[in-house]
Amino acid sequence: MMLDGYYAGIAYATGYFAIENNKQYLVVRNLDDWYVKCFENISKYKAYQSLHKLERDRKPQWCIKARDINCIPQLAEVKSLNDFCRAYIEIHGILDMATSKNRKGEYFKKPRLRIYGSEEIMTFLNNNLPAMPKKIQYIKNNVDDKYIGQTCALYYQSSEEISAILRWIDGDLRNEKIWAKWNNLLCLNEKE
Amino acid sequence: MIKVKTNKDLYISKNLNDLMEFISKPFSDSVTIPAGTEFDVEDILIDRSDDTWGSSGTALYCSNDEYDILDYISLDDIEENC
Repeated sequence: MMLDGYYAGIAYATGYFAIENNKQYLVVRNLDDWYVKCFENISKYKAYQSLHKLERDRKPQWCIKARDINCIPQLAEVKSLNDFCRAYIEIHGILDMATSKNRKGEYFKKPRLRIYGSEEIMTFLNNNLPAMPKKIQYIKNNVDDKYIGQTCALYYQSSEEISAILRWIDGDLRNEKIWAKWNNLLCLNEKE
Repeated sequence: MIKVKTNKDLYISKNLNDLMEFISKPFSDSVTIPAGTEFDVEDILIDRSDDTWGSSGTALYCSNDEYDILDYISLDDIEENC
């Protein structure tokens, strides 16, 4: 089975391939059961709670070992771009209010969308999202004062562009908890 | 105020809200900010607010009145000693 759209976005965002008896299959892990249970729609295998990284996460992860999903598309092969981006941004995007200032030097709050991931995925999003292409940020990662590598990020700070992105990625299969949070934040911004 | 100096040419353009911000590559309507331009550091982003992935990350939120820009700048794009 070849994944596309929302499922491919989940796989890129929070999945990996495990190898068993020389055969690879998709494993999806996340603290939010939504992304894992989605795969019960297209795989015959069942989601379960896992104690993997319990000490770090302080709550059980959800996991599905989809032994009947053995490959995912290359980014260039993804057909349903908005569905793919919806899953990826739900999982690796943070929408919040940031402080900015106008030309008079007065500070004000405005929405900010940050998306994190590999350079390959940031380039893919940068080329496809309905916004001016941003400069990819290279973020140094430190955990407990130990350097653990580099993450890339895209920062969107135009409320017009953020609204355009959310309109474009919106679709039927979506994590309602995330969208309620996003819509609430954008509604509050409009009222201010 | 902490100042930083860029170590390479950067490009800025207007977004849909008419605010200048850094872009990935030059466009027909973009402006090139030459290497060596100074920016004021307004804020430092030091966490990811997502405990799944650990608290991590650093980026500088910088402004420059000459170019009327307030945006994030990567540590890779500034000189280490300035």
